[in-house]
Amino acid sequence: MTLQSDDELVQSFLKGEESAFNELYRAYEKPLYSFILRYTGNRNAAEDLVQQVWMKVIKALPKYDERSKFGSWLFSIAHHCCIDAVRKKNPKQIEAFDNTPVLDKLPGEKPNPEEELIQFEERGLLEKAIQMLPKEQKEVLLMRIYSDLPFKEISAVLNAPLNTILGRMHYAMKNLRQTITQLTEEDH
Amino acid sequence: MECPVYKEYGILYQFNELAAGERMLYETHLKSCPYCRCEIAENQAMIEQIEQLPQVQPNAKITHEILAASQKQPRKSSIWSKSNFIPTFIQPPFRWTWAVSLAAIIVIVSFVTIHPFSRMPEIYEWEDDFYTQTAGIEESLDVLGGSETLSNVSYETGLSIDQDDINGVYDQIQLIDDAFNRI
Repeated sequence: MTLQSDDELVQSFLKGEESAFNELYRAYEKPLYSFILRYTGNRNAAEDLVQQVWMKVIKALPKYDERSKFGSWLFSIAHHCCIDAVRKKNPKQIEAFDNTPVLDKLPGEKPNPEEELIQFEERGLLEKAIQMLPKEQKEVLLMRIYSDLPFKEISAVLNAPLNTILGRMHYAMKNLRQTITQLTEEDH
Repeated sequence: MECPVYKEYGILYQFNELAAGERMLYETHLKSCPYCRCEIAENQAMIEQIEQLPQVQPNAKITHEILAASQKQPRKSSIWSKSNFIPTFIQPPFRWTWAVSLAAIIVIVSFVTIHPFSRMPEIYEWEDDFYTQTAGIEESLDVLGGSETLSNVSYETGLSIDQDDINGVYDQIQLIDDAFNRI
């Protein structure tokens, strides 16, 4: 079986091959949801948003322009949906939106063993630190990690100069390290 | 103290996005810059931790709804797009460029053919024809010296001029007048 590129899958889907969309969906399901979930910090909001994003994608696929990568296009739609969602919330909701723990229970997570508990705590700290990042820094960091797009493409998706994107990433890393240190100190 | 080089090149270096030449230059810089070395090491650990965070998926109900929606969506776009029968160079996004070019050519060709100046040689040809054809008639009329009817012309000169010839000449005069008026 040969692996089809995203563009080939889009073409196959447009020609009526239903399995092509399934394949496309499966390829991006986890990265996209992980991006949205960690960006919003709220499971319910993330599920609504991920559904919204895919519905928009399905609707717009016949107009999909092959000049851009499918991944860039998908994450660009996700970015706009997330921005709209945050804008529509009233301040009270935004607060709740931002402070809800992202992963209260990880899929396949085994409790009990001490090492796993420590790892879980570390992950928890990291998740919390990511949530505490300024929105722009969080967005660049998550998009780079989950979309696997190079910074140049991220700068096009977010419509910001490359230097700005690199600056945001730099400060995101710096802030993460500082926040984790602070949170660890508070715990002890 | 922060190193200004890191902010731009360090991040790209860590994500393997520097071109070969830039990478070599940055590696040379790394040897002499303790700040960059420290940042690289600390950030690398952080990036690995973030990458190890589990990727999650939405619940099965949402996946089912999305996949069901994809099956209901009409997929046919315009006849131009994504067709196997149309060469890729005139498929999107290039088709509009082609359409605009074609329209421009049509406009230019129409302008050149319809514009009165382009018809000048034709007018001159008509004019030449007119003079050739009327020369004999004028000569005949001179000979007639005032004959008023065409039947007289035929009778007195013996020249074969009929009504259709005369009408033809008048029509051509009219065409030439019209053409000059258009100019």
